[in-house]
Amino acid sequence: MTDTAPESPHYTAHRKGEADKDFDAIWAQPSGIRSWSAVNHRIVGKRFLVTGFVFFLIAGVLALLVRTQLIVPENTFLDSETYNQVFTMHGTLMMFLFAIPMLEGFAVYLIPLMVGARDLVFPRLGAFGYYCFLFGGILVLSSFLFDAAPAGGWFMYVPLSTSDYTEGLSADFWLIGITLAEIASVTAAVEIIASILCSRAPGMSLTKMPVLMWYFLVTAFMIAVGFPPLIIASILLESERLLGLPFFDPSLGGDPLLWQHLFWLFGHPEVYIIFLPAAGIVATMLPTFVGKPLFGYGFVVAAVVTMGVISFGLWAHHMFATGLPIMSLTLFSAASTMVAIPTGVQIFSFIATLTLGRPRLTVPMLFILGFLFIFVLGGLTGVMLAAVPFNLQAHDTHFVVAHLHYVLIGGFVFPMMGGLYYWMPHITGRMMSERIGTWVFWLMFAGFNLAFFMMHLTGLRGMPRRIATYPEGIGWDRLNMLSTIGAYILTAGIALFIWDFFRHRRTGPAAGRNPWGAATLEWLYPPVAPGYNFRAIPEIRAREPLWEQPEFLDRPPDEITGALRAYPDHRRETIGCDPVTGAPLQILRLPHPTWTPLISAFGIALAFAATLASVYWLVGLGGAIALAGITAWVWEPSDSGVTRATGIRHGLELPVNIVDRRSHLHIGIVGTLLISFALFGSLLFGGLYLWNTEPSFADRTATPDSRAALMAAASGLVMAGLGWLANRWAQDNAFRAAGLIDLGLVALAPLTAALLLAALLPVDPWASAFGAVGWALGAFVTAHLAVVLWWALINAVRKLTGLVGPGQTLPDLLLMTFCKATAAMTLVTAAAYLAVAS
Amino acid sequence: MTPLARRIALPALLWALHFIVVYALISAGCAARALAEVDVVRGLAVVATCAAAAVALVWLISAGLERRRAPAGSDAAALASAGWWTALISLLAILANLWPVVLLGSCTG
Repeated sequence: MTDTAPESPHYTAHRKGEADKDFDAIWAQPSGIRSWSAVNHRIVGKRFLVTGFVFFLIAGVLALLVRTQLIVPENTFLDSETYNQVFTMHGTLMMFLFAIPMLEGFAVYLIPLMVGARDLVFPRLGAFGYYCFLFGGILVLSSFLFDAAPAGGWFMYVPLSTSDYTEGLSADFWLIGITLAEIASVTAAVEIIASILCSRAPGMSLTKMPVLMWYFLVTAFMIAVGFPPLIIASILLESERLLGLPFFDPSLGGDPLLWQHLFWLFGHPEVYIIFLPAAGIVATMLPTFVGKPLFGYGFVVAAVVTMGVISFGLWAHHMFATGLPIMSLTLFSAASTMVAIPTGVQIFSFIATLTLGRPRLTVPMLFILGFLFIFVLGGLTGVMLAAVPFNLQAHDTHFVVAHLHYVLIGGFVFPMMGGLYYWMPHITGRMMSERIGTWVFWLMFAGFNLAFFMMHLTGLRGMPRRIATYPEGIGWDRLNMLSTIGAYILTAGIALFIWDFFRHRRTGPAAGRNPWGAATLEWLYPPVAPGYNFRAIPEIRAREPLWEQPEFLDRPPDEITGALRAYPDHRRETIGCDPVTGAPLQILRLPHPTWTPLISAFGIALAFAATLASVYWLVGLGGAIALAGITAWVWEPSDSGVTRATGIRHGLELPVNIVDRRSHLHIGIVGTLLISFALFGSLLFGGLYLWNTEPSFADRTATPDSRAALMAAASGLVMAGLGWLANRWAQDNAFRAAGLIDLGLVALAPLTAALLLAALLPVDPWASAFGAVGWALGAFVTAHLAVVLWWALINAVRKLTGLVGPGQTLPDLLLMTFCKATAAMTLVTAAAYLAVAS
Repeated sequence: MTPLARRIALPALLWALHFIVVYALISAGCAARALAEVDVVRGLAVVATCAAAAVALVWLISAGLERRRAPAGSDAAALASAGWWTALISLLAILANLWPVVLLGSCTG
């Protein structure tokens, strides 16, 4: 095999390879200050895990403050305002800055290793998401420094969180900081979907994927659909606070319940978004310690998919006490009960797997058993709460606190702890202590059950949530004392884990190759695996490759045969596959370390923070930095247009970065558009909701201009046509003509936005909530049109300056898809305006 | 294999569509705008449920046949098995969606 690049007319001027470096050096990670330019999934994944765990510890300290306050009646340890801040930040940090980032950390770290890839397909997006999460978390936490920590509960209900009832910046810290952090979640969703579907090793069909990949895949789709309602709700509420737009103001046709609908449209799937990857971790570890494959792979896949979908029909079971029609409540009650079926299928599959062999009682296995015990109890109280009459009795009591902690700690923290013990040798190369780990488990298990089982009883005895203190002698004293003692014991378990972590880094025994005897690919190399994951990407013939393909463990891993051993262009690359069959489809080029993700995230964070501080020139500066960073990110020579040998299957040659709808970039765009449509759908839902529930205000709202709306629709259609034409002509190598069409898009995008604006001119957004939602729809579509403008400008300049060669038309394919989606949103928005006007 | 993979996702998405239709019908009958009488809501919900349940049933039977045809232990068998279970769970959940509309006499119970 050759290490030299074949002559290629498309690469002579724009080579990005590092010709002077060998394979190890190409994959070496930058050190010192340059380590912040690293984009490799193992580094980014570890950063997510460490940062998320730090937030877990901070949130845990806040929980201890809450429990200390409640240890005795009439306690004055914390005043009421501080108590409100502490429990609000506890919930916020746990839900947004710990649980989701931790699952992202596991996904980012494990996916390439388990599917047989050298990195995620969008490493820069992963790094960008991490920095958004980090900056968002810092922004939220910094509220303590300004004595402006949010105090309205982790769900920020209106009207409490509107300017009338929460003056100052506390709610703004929450809304802006969390929205910034959520960028990481939605970018991770796109990354996970595209990586699992497009970068599996040759032969790894969907049914040969490790079951954890199904869990991550479904979770990613859930994030893509579930997070947008909260992002929209946060933007609407911040607009109300900042600009006075009356989205939730009942005196102007708004509705506080709209916030609750949007929040819980996110909030309930969020529980499953947290639970599913954790269950996937269990489904991965369990076969290792039982020594048998997972029982009922097909059952579990079906259960995960149905659970992922049905969980979206449960949101209003958090609103049973808000006065919704009983018929609606019963519908949500039915869905809440039905979701127990796929949950039960998974749990029974785990139990059946346990019966297949004689489980080894390692520390991760203890955490699996703890998960089963605790989560099943939490699930049972969940079924109780799904019944409307019981829910009305238990609503807002400590019974609910007990239920949600049984579900979240049992369903996420215990599997996560098991996962950390399980994969720690992979990360650090050393084993953690079994003896200390057993202590950690029992302290956590005993402490947890003591703390939270008691809360069922305090709840049933009527103790409300979120009260800062309580009178003595009404039956709550001893139960609260026991709960607090339990919380301290739970904390001792976590503290012991941290001590063991630092101890094992220095003195833990070295982990051998495949230390647990696992079946999955991440254990192919002795820990710590090299940064490229696989020297040659192996062919997969079985779902448990390390158990069923003996050639993987009978020789040094660097000598295992596979694809891409040669690296003629001296680039980072991996195999791209057909999303369903797993057949090799392309050679997928991966970026080297770069500062663009950090610069782009910094610009966005600056803009968000400046909005908080109302320094609007700084908002502009932050936006400009972000735009410059993103432009530098995408402004790079194309890798497409050539084919290279893969070294497998008798000389199989594959195109580099294929121009095809199955390409990772196109799948990524489709994932991004799924998020966009979920955002758009949330706004439409808001408009329909207000139209239906506040008809008198909606009917009094001034109507949009029909003629302008019709012209905007026509303009949107032309935009879709031009996007198609630019792609077509680029494929025919008519680059100049395609570039001119791109310039047409540059002109048409602002024209379409202007027409939408003209349609809206008669509508006063401050006069009614319904009118304000109309403007929000217009603004949302305009943001997409701005993306079309900038993207088409970049495409045009690249073509007209000769930077595009034959076969390098991936940007045109992607822009065409984006134009079609934007045109569809324009059409729907115009149709909505016309419907209101008619 | 692609149609088999679709068979896993489609029944669950059918449930989602049916849920949205029933929710929209209840909203049309029970919100302030009062777009429809409850009896009309009930009738439309029954029609929608029959249609959705029929489709789910067809998918259930076809996934069952596929499961029998596929060689044991093959990729196709695993996908067909997952498709069959998805269709079954979705069918039950679709029927559950109809329950409140049939059970309750009015919006307020």
